[in-house]
Amino acid sequence: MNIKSTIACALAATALMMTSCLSSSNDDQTQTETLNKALMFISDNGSMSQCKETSIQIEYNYTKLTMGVTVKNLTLPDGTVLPNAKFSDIKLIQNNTGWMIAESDGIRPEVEGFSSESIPMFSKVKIASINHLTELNGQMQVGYERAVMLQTGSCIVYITTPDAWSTGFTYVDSSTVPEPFKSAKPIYLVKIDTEKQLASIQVHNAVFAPQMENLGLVIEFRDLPYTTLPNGSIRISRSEEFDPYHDNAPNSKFPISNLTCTWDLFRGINLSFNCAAMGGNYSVRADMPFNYGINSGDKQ
Amino acid sequence: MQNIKITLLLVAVTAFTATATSPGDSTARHRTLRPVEVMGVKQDAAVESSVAAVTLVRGEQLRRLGINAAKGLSEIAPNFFAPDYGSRMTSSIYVRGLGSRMDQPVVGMSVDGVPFLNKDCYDFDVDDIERMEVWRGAQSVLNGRNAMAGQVNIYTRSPWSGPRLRLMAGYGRGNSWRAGAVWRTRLGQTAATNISAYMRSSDGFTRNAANGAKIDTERQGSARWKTSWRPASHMSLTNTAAVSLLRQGGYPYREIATGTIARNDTCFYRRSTFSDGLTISWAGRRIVATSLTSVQYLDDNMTLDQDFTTDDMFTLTQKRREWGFTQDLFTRGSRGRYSWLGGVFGFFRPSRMDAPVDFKDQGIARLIEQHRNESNPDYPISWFTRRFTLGSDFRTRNGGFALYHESRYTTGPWTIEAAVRYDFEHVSLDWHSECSTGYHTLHVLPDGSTEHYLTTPVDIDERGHMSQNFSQLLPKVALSYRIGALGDVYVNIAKGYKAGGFNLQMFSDVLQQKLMKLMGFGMAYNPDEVVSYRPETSWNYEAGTHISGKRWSAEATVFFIDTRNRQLTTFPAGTTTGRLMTNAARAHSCGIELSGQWMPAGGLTLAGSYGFTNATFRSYTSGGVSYRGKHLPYAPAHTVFASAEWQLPLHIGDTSVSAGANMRGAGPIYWDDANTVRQKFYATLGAHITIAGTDERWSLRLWGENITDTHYDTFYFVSVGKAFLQQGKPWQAGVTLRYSIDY
Repeated sequence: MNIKSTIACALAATALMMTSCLSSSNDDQTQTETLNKALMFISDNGSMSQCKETSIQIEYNYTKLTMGVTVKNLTLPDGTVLPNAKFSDIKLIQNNTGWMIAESDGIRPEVEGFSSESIPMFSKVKIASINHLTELNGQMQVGYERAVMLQTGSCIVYITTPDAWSTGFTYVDSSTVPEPFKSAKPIYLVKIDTEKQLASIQVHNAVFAPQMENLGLVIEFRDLPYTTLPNGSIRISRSEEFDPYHDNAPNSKFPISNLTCTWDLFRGINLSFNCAAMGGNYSVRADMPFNYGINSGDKQ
Repeated sequence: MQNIKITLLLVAVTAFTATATSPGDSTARHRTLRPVEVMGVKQDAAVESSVAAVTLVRGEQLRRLGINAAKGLSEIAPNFFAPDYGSRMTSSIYVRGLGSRMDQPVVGMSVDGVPFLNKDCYDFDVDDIERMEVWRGAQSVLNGRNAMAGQVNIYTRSPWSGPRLRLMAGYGRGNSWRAGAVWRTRLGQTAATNISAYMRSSDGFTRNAANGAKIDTERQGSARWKTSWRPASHMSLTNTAAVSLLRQGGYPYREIATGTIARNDTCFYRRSTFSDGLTISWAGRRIVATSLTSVQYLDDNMTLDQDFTTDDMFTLTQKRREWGFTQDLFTRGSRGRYSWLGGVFGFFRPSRMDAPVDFKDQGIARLIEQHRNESNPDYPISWFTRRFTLGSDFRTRNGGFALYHESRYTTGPWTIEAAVRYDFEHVSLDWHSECSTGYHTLHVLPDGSTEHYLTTPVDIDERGHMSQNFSQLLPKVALSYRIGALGDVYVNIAKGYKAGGFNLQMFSDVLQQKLMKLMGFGMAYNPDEVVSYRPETSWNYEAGTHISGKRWSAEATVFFIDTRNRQLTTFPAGTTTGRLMTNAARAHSCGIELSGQWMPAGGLTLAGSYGFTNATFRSYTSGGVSYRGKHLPYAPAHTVFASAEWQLPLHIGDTSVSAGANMRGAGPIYWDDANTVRQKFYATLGAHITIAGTDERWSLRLWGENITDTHYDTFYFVSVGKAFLQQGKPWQAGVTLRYSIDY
């Protein structure tokens, strides 16, 4: 990731409750991001927790080509509480404009006031930092995905941004037309509300049929149950029929059913649902990997 | 001897009577040396020195045809079309298929050398015109931005034209009256001045079916003060100050579906202008240097019932205050066979505009509530109030400079001319859009009653800044060959340029779409993308001839114009108002122009002109539809003018009688890019009988226009899903009395 694009992303980060600071110290060029409302869930030998809020800092060292992450009040299933666990010098294994991935084995974090013997060893630490540009309402928006995996012998801690933007191709099979309809316009924003413990999915530029091309609809699927998975995914699912929200009001003209959404923190989002509208049945599916190294607006 | 040479040189660049083709001019061709007065003329309309198509109409002929505005030359100059619609703010002139309904014009205009920077001021009456010139083809080298298709130069009478008081009064159909006075006098040996005043009032011809009131009323007044001073034999100063006031109804648009003109909100256009132009010329041994400085001020208010129906949809009030400053410094000279002109030009035009759109009851209901509630009838919305304002205000700064040079070399019958202009322009826009309103979302209960569900305030307060720079190199080459005393033939190739800018009218749509977007639907426009438009350029290729004999003259031209990044005015998709400026890729325009006059026998003068233009898109796609091969809208394919003037061999005492008839025609005109709607070719007939005293000290003119009451349309547009037309003026008749006092 070149510095200029990093700075550009950093300057725009405030809109997403992130703060960022670029500095030079000890001849190393570093940058720190603070994410105050990150989501964290833990897999404890396959037993999954719900998402809760946490705060992390991600550090980039452009001189050493490493990343680091500091987790505030990291509480492990065995009761270990690490107040500010700092994982440093995670080596970059992929370093490109707009996205970076760092991974290291055998990392013991630094925790102020703790002796190293009392701090557990983490068998693997992985950090992904993804920025991608998406055109929305004629303006470029920056989507930020941050994903952290901290693995010990018995548990895996997953941390991510509270929402994820993603774009890709949306395919619609309909009982009214023989050929599937395809559009790259819809943009999906997946959110987890840690207070309600429910998820929501916003669809911007909702286009599921040719006649919707210029409507610019924004619809929202609210109050969706979710589960966390051991592989670092959040699965959102609602099989029964429900009304989507449009302009903050439920709309019974477009009932949704069989909704499934899987948010893989390191890979992307895929989504499918059915909609009965305008006298037909529409089966919608969207596979939206985080476009590593590709501008989200590019055609696939 | 040297002074005589200087004098002749000065005369060569001053008002003159040797002409290019002058339709309907009953006087024989001749040259008259006028008193020395340098008017800062850059373009010499004398036939033998012009390598362009020029139509020149002198004052007397203008008065015979009842013309006192540039619009009156429509069809008289071939392929020059200036439809009369809307209000005097809509000065849309089309030349050879090129034209513009908004923002930048394709034709430049000057009055006594002072360039008008804003085409919204092009339509004005002047009663004391010496002559008008219409130069067709790219005139950008000497006249700069926005003279891509031509240049109209208006020259008012010189204050040196003898001490005289002239009065004019006229009355015509539609309770139309006008009156004017010109007082001219010398101020010693070295100065002269004239002051003119003019008023016009008309009740119009069209009624608003909703309330029975006349729609197209007009009241205007103007004054002009022109002073010329010659402090020395080699120096001249001329200052012209002019002020005008206008208040008119206007916009008599007929809804096609109902066939009526009916609206419930007021429409009017009010305009106040002031201008002052100072021309200083100094003549050296072989050089004449001229400085032309001007200041212009415009204060206008356009208020529209923007749906033009009796529905309460929306209204617009656009108020503007604009200054304009120009400075032109140029020199011209000659040495043997070589002559040249070169100069530098600069301008600055700051402007403020306030243009709020008021959404009213039915506009809110149909354009917002209905659209939204159809998509979710179980949770309909209801607006806070039945009226709210989308506010927009703008501050524009526009300035630029240019360097230009023209060289001409004559050897024998050949004259070669080469010219170039470098033009740079900067325009910036600070915009502010605001809206504070909101709506309730209701929930329809099973029994049909409603309960309040949600309240959503809508608060928009956005600002932005945009700027653009444009630069152009505008070359021209021309070659002419003199065919003895008969005339000449010429070819010329020139580049034309129409400046880019910002379409402020689009902001109401941007704001409306922003509001819809806040409600969860609609594609929000990016102001930077939809408001800005780029310059339009053209290459003009033409060949022509000017020939004349003892009693006749003729001019013929063939031309081809290749236009790139053509600026087009379209309406955005959907039921919105406001207009969108786009740059269509490419258009071609080709055609011919013929004009001439003949005096077959004593007292009779026949004149005519014909223009044909085939202007089509070469590459233009909008909304996925290709318009390649379609005719450019709003410009006629044919223009026709014919006139006959007869000085009757009838004298009663000291009076003489003359009569004349003329025909003007234009069309067909396509009204849309897809060429699905058009106005067929139409023609109107005019006539007059004039009784005049000796030396025309007094004259009584009985006149008629559109005598056969031809019905034709001058404008078409679609707004909020409805199509509208404006009909041309019906038959008119009247009388004009002129009286002069010499002392």
